[in-house]
Amino acid sequence: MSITTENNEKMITLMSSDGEEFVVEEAVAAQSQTIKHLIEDGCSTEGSIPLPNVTGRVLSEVIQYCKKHSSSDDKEEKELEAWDAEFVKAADDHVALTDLMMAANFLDIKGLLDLVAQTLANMITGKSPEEVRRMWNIKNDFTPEEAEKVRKENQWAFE
Amino acid sequence: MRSKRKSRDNSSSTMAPQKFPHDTIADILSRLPVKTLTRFKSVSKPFSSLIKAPLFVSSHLRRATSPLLLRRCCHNVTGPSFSFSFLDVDTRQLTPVEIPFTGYLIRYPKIVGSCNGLLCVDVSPCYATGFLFWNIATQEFRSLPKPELSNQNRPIWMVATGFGSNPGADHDYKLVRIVSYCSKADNFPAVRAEVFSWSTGSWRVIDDETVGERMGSCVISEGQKGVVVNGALHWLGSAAGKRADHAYVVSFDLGTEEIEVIKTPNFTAAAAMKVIGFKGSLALAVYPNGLARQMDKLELWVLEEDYAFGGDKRNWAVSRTINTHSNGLGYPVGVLNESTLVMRKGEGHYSQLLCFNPTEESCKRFHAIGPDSSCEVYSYVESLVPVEAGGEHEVLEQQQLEEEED
Repeated sequence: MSITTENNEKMITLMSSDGEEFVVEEAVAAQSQTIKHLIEDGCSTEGSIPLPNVTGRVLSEVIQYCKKHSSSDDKEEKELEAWDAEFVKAADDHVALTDLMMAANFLDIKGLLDLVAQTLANMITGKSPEEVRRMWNIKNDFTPEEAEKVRKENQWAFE
Repeated sequence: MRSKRKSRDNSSSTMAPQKFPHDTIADILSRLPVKTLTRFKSVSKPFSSLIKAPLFVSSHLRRATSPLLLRRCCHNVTGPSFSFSFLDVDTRQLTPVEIPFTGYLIRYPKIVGSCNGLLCVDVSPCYATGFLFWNIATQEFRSLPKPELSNQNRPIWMVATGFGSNPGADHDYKLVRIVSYCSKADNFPAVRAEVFSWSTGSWRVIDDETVGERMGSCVISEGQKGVVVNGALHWLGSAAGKRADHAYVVSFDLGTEEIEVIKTPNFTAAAAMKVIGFKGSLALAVYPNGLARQMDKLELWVLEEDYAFGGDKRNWAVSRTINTHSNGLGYPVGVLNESTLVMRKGEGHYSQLLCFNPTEESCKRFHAIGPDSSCEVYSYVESLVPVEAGGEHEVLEQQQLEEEED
């Protein structure tokens, strides 16, 4: 179903994995290439667009970002940058950012993907391999001998 | 080659860290400095393979946005005392560069070129016969095989070199060596050229007839290092013998390997010239030489396509005139980012390095270079580009990573 507001903006409904519904302007939602393609394919006319990979909590954050960035044509670039910085700061912890990254990836929103990827990159720049394994849930598949060898080859990077 | 997106139900669990898809990991890692990535080779095998994969090396390089100025200074004329350092023009931070190959040095190293984080260094005593590839960020270096063109048949007169990336290939760099021989009245070619390719790891001599035909009586003076503009190396050349009064720019296309000789405008004898790349165009910086104090300006002459004559003709035109005297600029030593002229002013203890942007007319001064007898500058970006092309099996690594995900 598509609703039209007084401003003649076409509205669409997005449904999160946990069943929450969000009614947003099509122009806002279309910042997601994935949603844009779904709309183009005619999926929106049959009701709400289901997004099985995104929870309601994450989706509301994503919509916040899209709203800000769709209405910001004439805004100062600096102001938008400051808003972005606050936005990722609010999502502060690593798990929340990870969820946001996965959502941005699934929804294919380039700006958000860049923003979150850069934030995650800044978070791990000074980390040790052990910390990265823990943060990203990665298995250490080196044998002790191999680990020793790789470590030795790159010793300077640990100093 | 980017993979299908895996749909997976991770909707309800947000407490445990999720496993990122390969693309996402590569995206985040491509934003990290080389030192961090080198450390992260210890995380896991798939991580290590990803960081070494040529595709990742390229995407990491594309993100490198703020080039540094690499400075090579010789502290005296003969050069036994020299140093390399990075100058961050924005923060004014000066960082010394450690040289890992001091054992290879007979005399001070000369930088042939700096491209994508890879440096080509000439470590031979004369006639450019010994080279190294060096990645400063990864601290790797390798010594190259000996060039093929020697002075066996004929004494060498002059050698010019150049280094840059091959625009015709995804991952390739070329070192070019142009050798002028002392010519006699026989058929031995006066000028010969050879190319070392990073990807093949070997030297190849270019067809003598083509080189001879293109060069004519033009020669490139000893020790010049080529300037890369639009995928081609450029040197200043002059006609040998009686017609030695005119200057040329010799260009070598790093893709097609074709040589071209371009005539320069007639400048006064009081003018010194430097080939530079400026905003994507081949340009000549023309400035007063040491003897002529009456000239107090620097002119930037740009080679423009002349469409009025059917696009085939090119014209040198003055694009900018900069008053070096009133701006206190000195003479050009290089270009940063193809947009900022790096100038040197004064000698000895009072010498300064200046970064002058002709478009904005802005100038940044760096005092106290020290009493160096010479100072050269190069644009430098940090990268993971290996000093030797390896047969990385990218496809296999991709599979490995995908398996790791599941």
